[in-house]
Amino acid sequence: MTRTLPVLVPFFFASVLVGPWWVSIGVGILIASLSQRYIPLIFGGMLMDMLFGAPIPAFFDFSFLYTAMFTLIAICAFYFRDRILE
Amino acid sequence: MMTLLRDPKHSGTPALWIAGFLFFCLFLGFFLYGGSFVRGAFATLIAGAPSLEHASLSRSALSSRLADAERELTRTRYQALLYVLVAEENKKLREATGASEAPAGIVGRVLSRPPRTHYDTLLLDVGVEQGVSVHDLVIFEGVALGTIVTVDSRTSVVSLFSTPGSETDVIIGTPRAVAVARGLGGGAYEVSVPQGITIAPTDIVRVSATESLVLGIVSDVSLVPADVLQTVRFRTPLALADLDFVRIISSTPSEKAELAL
Repeated sequence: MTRTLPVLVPFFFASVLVGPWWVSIGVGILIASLSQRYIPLIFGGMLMDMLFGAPIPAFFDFSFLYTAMFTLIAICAFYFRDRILE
Repeated sequence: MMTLLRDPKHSGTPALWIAGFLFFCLFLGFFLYGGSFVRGAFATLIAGAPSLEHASLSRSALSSRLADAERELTRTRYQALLYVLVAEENKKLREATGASEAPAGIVGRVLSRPPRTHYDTLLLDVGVEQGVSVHDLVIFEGVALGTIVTVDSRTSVVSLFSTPGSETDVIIGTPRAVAVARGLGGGAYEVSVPQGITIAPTDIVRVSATESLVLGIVSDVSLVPADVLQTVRFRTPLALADLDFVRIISSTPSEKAELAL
């Protein structure tokens, strides 16, 4: 599992810059489920928000959607790994 | 009974708190002030990157493409001559009717577009240095796209009118009705209008503020006889993924007034 991480993290950051959003989300979930390193995930979300972020009226003008989403994914992955897998 | 004594000198809690606080400050600073730097670096990276489209083509394919491009250039030159004639005629008609010149605006290159931008936004390579400011209107070939929400020195972010939850006043149907369209994301919109207004698929929906700008083309009308309102769904006539250049119209009252004409 850990062998996939060196490939996944650069691919995740590349997808943040030049890939469509569904690739970034998919790879982000893959990183959260295969590894215990959540910091790159949250930084990826921050990068998305800083580059392309804008207030979304449907979310009460919240403009840090991807940071919040990846933080939530990281917390969920941490919780489930802690309570169910280990 | 055993008693576990902890040496207060080796307590790691304050160090952890300080590290956490520093990380939080870094996080906050990066968030608040790092955006401009990151967007600038991204713009430099994308603008300077060579095109990989022709890298894998053979010599004969490249020469064939060159011949095609030269034929296209000849045709474009001829069309440019016709355009000058039409522009002259347009200018004379505007003078005769007393209408002012259409605002030229600022042309900006689109660096990132949906679905790459993760939001319903466009990243442009023009910023404060080129005269762009927040709330400026962004159009392409008479189609209203959105407004500028963030401006840096060399880049700017456009929030599209189709951003989920975004509301825009539109003119729609026969007789003409003014309604509020709600963005659904990805260039799609929804608007509710009374059933007395006749609307059919392929009807044009215009922006209320300018009247000359198109917001979208009606794609679907949901009409339930028991309801007072009918739900109209429409979408922008452009493929957002193919947008390369846009025009930015300043939000100053003079240019807006010119656009309204």
